[in-house]
Amino acid sequence: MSTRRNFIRDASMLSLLATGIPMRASAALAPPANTKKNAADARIITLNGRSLDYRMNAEVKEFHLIAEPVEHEFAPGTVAKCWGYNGTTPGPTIEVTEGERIRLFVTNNLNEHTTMHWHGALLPCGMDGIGGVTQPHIQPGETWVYEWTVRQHGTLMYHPHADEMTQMAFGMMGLFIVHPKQPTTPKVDRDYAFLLHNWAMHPGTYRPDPSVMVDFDLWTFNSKTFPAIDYLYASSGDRVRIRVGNLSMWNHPIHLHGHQFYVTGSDGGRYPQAIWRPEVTEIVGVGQMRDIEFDAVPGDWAFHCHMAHHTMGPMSHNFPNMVGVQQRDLVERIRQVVPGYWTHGENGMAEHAQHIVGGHHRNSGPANTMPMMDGMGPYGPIEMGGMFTIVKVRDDWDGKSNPGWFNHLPGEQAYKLE
Amino acid sequence: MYRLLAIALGCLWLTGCAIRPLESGRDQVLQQTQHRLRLDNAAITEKNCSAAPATLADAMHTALLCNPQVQIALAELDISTAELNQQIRIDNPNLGLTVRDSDSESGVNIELDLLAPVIDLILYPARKSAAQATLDRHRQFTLAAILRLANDLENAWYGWQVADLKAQVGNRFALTRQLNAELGERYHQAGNINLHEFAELQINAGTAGLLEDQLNIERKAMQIKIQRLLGIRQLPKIQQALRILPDSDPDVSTIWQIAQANHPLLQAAQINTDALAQSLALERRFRFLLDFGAGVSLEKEAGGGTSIGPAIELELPLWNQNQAEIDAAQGQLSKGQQQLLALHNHFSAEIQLALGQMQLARSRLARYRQQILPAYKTKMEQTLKEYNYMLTGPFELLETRAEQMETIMAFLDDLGSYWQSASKLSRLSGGSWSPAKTAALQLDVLAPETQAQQTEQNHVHTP
Ligand SMILES: [Cu+2]
Repeated sequence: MSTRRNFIRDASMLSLLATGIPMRASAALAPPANTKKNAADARIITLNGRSLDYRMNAEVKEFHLIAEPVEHEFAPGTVAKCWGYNGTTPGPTIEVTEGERIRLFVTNNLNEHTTMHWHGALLPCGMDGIGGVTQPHIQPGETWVYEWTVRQHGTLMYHPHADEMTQMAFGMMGLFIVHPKQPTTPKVDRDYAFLLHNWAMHPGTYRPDPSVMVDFDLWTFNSKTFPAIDYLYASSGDRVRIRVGNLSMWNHPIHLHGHQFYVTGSDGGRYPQAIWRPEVTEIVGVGQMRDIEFDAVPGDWAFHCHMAHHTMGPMSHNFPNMVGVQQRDLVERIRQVVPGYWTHGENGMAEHAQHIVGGHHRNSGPANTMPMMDGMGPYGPIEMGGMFTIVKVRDDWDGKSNPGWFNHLPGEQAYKLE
Repeated sequence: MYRLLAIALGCLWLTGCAIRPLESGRDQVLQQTQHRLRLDNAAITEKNCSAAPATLADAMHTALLCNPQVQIALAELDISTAELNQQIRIDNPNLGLTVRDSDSESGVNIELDLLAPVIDLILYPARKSAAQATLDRHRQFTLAAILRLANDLENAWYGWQVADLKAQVGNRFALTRQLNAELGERYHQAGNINLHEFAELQINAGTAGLLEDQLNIERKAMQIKIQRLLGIRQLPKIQQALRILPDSDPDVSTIWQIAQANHPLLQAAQINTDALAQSLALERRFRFLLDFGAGVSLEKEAGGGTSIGPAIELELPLWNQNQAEIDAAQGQLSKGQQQLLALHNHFSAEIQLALGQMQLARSRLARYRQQILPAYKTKMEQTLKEYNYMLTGPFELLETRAEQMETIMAFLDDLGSYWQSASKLSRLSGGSWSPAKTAALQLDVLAPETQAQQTEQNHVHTP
């Protein structure tokens, strides 16, 4: 028998069925506009980034992600109209602890719909954020809520599952890190994390091209290219963990110099030590996460993707090979028809880096375009770009600032034979 | 009685002498030419036929003085004047003498008749006026011939300026492609590009070379054409740059009015119809006066008696009253009027066509100036920047420059087409309209050495 109250309930269910959109309105469920708790207690060091602030609402940890257009700088001189979260690409890192009840508000400030997928998370299917499958899309201006109790630990990610090709190509992604409820050993002293990505930022343009499948221009750690990528710092002997997630379109063999690191975890959490394995290079496949750990050894250690083209800035894929071409006697004649013509690359491309990084051709490229190779070290051009940075380990590191270039001990540096 | 004869003879002689012949007016024609071409009179007489002119005005001076065609046209005017004078002269009086021996009487019978063609005297003013009209027409034809020659020179001068600039750009175009091929050879020798790619560069260079040869020949041909129009032996040298467009073009009605008032051919046709109308009127007025002579007749008889008295000779218009001549004159007038109309139609159409060509060239040039050439400049700068950052190869860089030069050659074609159409319009106006003087065209692409030096100042490094 239908009471008046049942009628109201049934009517609201009818409307739900009609639109297919679940809705709940409650003051207690407003997005945390002013997070009381900031992320100062973050344990993760997000390269060139930060952890997301949160608010405790009773026993629920609340986060608010806002999908929106962002002005992003890949490295000085190269900016782009990207999309991200809370003003950056990648969005801020979410840090939670196993067992917590979490509530994630997602507001869409884009002009097209989106959703949020919690990549690697164990959650109720309806919280998985697959547009059209588990929920209707989040329309511009709407805020949707995702909520579950975390039943795992490990390095996870978040990204949209709506117009994914475009939205991810524009930089919509972030790290989602779940700390274990029970501390594991050995204790980690420095916990770094970043995402791998590739960008079709054609030279001279200001917006990534989402249609590119293979020939990317920029290769990034957390949407930055060398030399704009943060260095990783540690004191000698520190237990360092680096968490790497890959939301690009290529697999990346991530290589650390001077250490045998252990591959100790992934989205599956920190592995049992029995299956840790020593490596110097670990391929992080597309959609995968890998944690590596090592005891820091003093030095300035290169840390990069080992695909040589992924440690370069933009360069043409149809550029004729210049190496070995004797053409210097033609230069003066060519300048008669093309003033400013110069040769580079006759003996290899290092010459190019010298002219670009240290020479007068520094800013001679197209607008908003970084050079193919960049960076200057204590002994000359570093001739790198893209997915490259340095792990700086010092006996006497002060814990906060860049210690400068490494001072090698006598007898511990290569020398020229006189 | 003899006095009467003397008086008659005297009158005839005086009448014949009083008639003044027509003058050719060649000096006036020359002055008109100078005036139309806006040339200064003094310079013409000073012109030296052994020196090559450097400017168009200079060239026109030279042509007027040195081109034999000008002198031929003036000599033809003189000949025509003489022929007309021959045609309008009054026939000399006829003197008839008859001497007869008489059997019946002693002595001879003498008859002396002096008969003057009075009809010539009566019709003389009309005939002179018709001859004057014919001479006036001839003067206009002479003026037209000389102006046409000057206009041919102007037209060729513009053609030559374009051919010269195109040849200069074409030489750089061919050099650019040639350098690309040489660069390609180095890349191929180094093992960096294959034979296919190298062959492409060689084909491009060879094709550019063909064009370069063609352009050089065309420049030389234009030079020879001008040399011929000038009537000098040495090849002239371009010292005057092609000019940019004036701000606006005249409208059709302005040029049409100028042409009507000034074009020698239209003037000649107008003179012709006026003269034909007059001729028809005369034919009608004198339709009954066919032939008329008057004089004195003297007879000395064998018997000694002498008689003298006036004599006339008159054709009686009984069967012929000049109708055929009137019909012919009527036909001539109608033909002349239609010829004038046809000429008007021709000029009106040609003026519209010439202006249409100028306007087309103007709009094409605007597209080049406002859009295509600036875009090529940008493209070239960007390609160099991309080359600097290893984003574009050297072959594409040089080919971009070559394409830019090809575009500049196409632009020059349109600029030349504008000035040549303007010179056609000037011809249609009878030389009485000419386009405004404008600044010289500056072609950056022909002076890259300066740019190169500037670049070198900024970029001191030389590999
Ligand atoms: Cu890689």
